Amino acid sequence: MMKKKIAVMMAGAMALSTLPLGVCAEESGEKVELTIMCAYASEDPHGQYVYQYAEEFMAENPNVSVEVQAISSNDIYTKLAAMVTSPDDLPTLFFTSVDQAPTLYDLGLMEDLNGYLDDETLAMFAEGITDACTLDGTLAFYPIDVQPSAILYRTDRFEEAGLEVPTTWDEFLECAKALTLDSDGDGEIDQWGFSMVGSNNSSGQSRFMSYLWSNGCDIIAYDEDNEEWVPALGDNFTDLMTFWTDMNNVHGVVPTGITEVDYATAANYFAMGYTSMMLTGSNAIGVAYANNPELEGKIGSFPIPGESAGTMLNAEGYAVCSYASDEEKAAAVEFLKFFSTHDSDLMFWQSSGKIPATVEGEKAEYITGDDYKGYLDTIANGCLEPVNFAGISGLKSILGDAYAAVFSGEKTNEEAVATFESALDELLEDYN
Amino acid sequence: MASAVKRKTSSGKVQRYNRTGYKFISPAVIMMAALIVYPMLYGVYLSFYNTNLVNKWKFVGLKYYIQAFTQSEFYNSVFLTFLFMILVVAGHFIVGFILASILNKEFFGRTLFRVIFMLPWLFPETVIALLFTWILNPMYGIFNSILKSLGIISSNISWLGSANLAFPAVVVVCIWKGYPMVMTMILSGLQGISSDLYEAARIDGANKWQQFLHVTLPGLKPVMTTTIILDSVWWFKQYTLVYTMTGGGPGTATNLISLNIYGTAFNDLRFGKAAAWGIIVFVICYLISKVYRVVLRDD
Repeated sequence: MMKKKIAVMMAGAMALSTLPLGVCAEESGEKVELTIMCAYASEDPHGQYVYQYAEEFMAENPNVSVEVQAISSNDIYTKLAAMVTSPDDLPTLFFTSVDQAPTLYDLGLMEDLNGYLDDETLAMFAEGITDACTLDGTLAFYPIDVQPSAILYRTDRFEEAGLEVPTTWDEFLECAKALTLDSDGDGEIDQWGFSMVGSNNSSGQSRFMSYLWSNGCDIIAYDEDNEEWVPALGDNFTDLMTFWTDMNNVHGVVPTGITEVDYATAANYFAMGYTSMMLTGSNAIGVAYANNPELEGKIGSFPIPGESAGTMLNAEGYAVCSYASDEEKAAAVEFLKFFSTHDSDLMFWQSSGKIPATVEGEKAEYITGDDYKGYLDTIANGCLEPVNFAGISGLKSILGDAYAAVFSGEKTNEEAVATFESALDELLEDYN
Repeated sequence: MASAVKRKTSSGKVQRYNRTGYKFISPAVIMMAALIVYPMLYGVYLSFYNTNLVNKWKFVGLKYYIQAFTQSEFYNSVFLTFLFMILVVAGHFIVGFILASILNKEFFGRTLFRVIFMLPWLFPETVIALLFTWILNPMYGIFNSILKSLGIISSNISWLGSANLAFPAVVVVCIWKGYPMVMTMILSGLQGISSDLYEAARIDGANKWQQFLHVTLPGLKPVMTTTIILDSVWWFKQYTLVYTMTGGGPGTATNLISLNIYGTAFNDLRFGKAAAWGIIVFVICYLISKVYRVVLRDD
């Protein structure tokens, strides 16, 4: 009996001892810990600068400790979606882009930054950029860069082949055909016109969406009257799908094994000269120069062909987690300001090929050449508004399933479209 | 009276004895309830909702169960998973049996070969998946290069990008990865069969095939029953290898039910639908083990 009493007393004493400790920690000004789940950090060649900026921030702010968790941008969304059910483990800051933001916003993960950024800070961003990060009036994430999609191309090969920059997808296909060839004369094609990202992941799906948008296909639209999302495929969706998949299945203007070509592979193919055009954000420029410095002066860009805007502004940046403490949120915002302003050489942006989100950044020397011209033209021409559909990831998945089924020979275009339409109806039913 | 008191005392002892027993097993019971029973019941609960687990909880009743049985997506995926499981497990048993029979014989360097043949089991699944993805790469993979140098193919083949080739390619890799476990189990079973039985069979005039049929197989039955159940359930719910190699594609060529459920839950955030499918898969796995136990019961 005595032992039991002693045990209970000791347990009580241990439990009580935790309370004053907690108070002491706050009173003593213990370090604020920021964890950043970061897709930039996992990428080369610019990932190193995230760590460098974090170190420099900690040197200037000894009361803050920053831990960078590198994770692929294709995985970050899934991981956050899984972690939200146990919010204690969520990071303070996490990377996000405009195509992932609606879902994460819908999950209540994003703090409204309007309450944290003063007018001076907001004025720092280039025109339209904060709008691209705003969902339902909430400034959902802090923009670091913008990545509108455009077509990157080899200017030297266009000149050699006497090609003009295409403005329609038919012209694009003709260029791709002209640039698909057997360069060493061994009887096998070894150079392809188009570095398509055909993998069924976020990178491939986003590019297919861009292609559809540029052809005036919205895919989904919000019906204000009924307050629900509805399909908006238009009347030529099958033709659009056929054109895209024919580039592999019929015309052979994309590399062999297209469903295995993800963004990194496609960017490397372009950098190594296996391909001559690529639908991509400007980050592929950074990859190209990092892998093959001889490409300097041989790369240009032009807006996505087609009559409609084929891309959103595609702002990328960091969201502050709504589950973080006030102290952590304040420190996180300070870190973000530091990240986007302290490096006058813009090494993070320059090495990555990304376009800075700030007015000052967009005046940088490195984005004044032909290689960035198509991206700046795309921004000047106007981009699509962000699509605030919480099921955007599911939508991209079923689009990816559709083109992958045709690429692999599993389905015809008509069958794939029928399956897609059925899956889209089911998805919208679940999200409306 | 004395007898009644004695009975009461005896009954009290039994009750105390039982209580002590319950106390001893309670940690295990609590752990099992927390780690197995609760998640399963929670899964059943989720399956009745259209939910993202955070701020959307819409009761849909049996909708997702009905969808599973009325839409081809689910049963195509289950059928593909069954086919995958049967081919992989059969492959494991064929390769495992042959190698175990060889390794059961006396020859120089037997221990070394036992270690070598175990190696695929020791590598992490992700490593093997990436290794074979590179080997089978359509642009620079060594497999295409070898076939071309032998004159078997004239141009590179996308092994993992074709609807017809991706599934067999993944099956072969999974057989390669998993046969050592079966080989080891069969080898241990073979070593447990007394040589007296073979000698007796030979005296009775049994040939090699008859010895295998009437001595080896019955002797291995207990080991094989356990192995086949473990292997089947393990490969029925296989995820890592297939996901890393093909992501379930191209199209639905390798879209096993485990990948399908994971994608539905964590990509589409349709946790209710994924939970319903998970519950059905649990029932299927349970039935697999039941069927095996009935078919392979020890007479």
